[in-house]
Amino acid sequence: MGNSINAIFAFMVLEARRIKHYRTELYTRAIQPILWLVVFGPVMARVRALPTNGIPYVAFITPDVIMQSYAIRGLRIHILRPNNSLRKGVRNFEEAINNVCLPNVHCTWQVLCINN
Amino acid sequence: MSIVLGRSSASIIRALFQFAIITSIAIALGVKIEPNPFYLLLSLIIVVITFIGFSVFSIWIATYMKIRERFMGIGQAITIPLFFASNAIYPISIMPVPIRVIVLINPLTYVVDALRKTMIIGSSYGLAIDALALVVFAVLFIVLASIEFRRIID
Repeated sequence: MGNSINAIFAFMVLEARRIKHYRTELYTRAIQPILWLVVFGPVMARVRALPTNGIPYVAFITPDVIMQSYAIRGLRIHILRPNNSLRKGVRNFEEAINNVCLPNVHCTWQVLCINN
Repeated sequence: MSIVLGRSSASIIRALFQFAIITSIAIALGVKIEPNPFYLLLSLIIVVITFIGFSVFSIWIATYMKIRERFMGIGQAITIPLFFASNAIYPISIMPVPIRVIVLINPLTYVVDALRKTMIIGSSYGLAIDALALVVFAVLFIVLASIEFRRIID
């Protein structure tokens, strides 16, 4: 139990570090949802073809736009395996892992990472 | 188990950032968000559960993939149908019957429905079913991903 709480906390710190390091990514990620809200929403609202139970169309798709950015991020987590990276020319994989991992996480040869 | 849970809950941080950014843009565009803090809390909980669910689902798929490019392809192939076969951009009532069946097993349908209820309409009618579906989705894939993850580590 203590071990898993440790791991969860460590992964959160890791994620926070990543966000801090790639800060511009937060803003570039927001561009696509903004386009949905600013362009697609008002255009479809003008068509007035969809029965939305009296909710304005932009409000109707707001939950979707939120989920879209989340789910797309979530579905891109994948497992980085050393074999593949070696094949791609990352020779010092042990060092690379030690740079991204925190010492109290058990990540000897497998790293879960976000793919951009 | 702890790695799977840890990785997926770490994504919450980023999710909350995105939630804040998009919600503020929506408010700026004149969308009336339900001001009741209770509903805001509910919608945050829903977002967190869903995000854990999707992350774990992704980890579960990733355990079967040996090559990164193959995973990228699968991710793309799943995302777009998930969005179009849900009640996200058009209501279920105007869909043809075979698609409605897919919509009913799509977790995104329940998320969007729940978020719409808590953030926009502001009613908790039928919210329990949505929440139950999401919890089942998340727990199912946490179990599956943990089993598979243990298999590839050994």
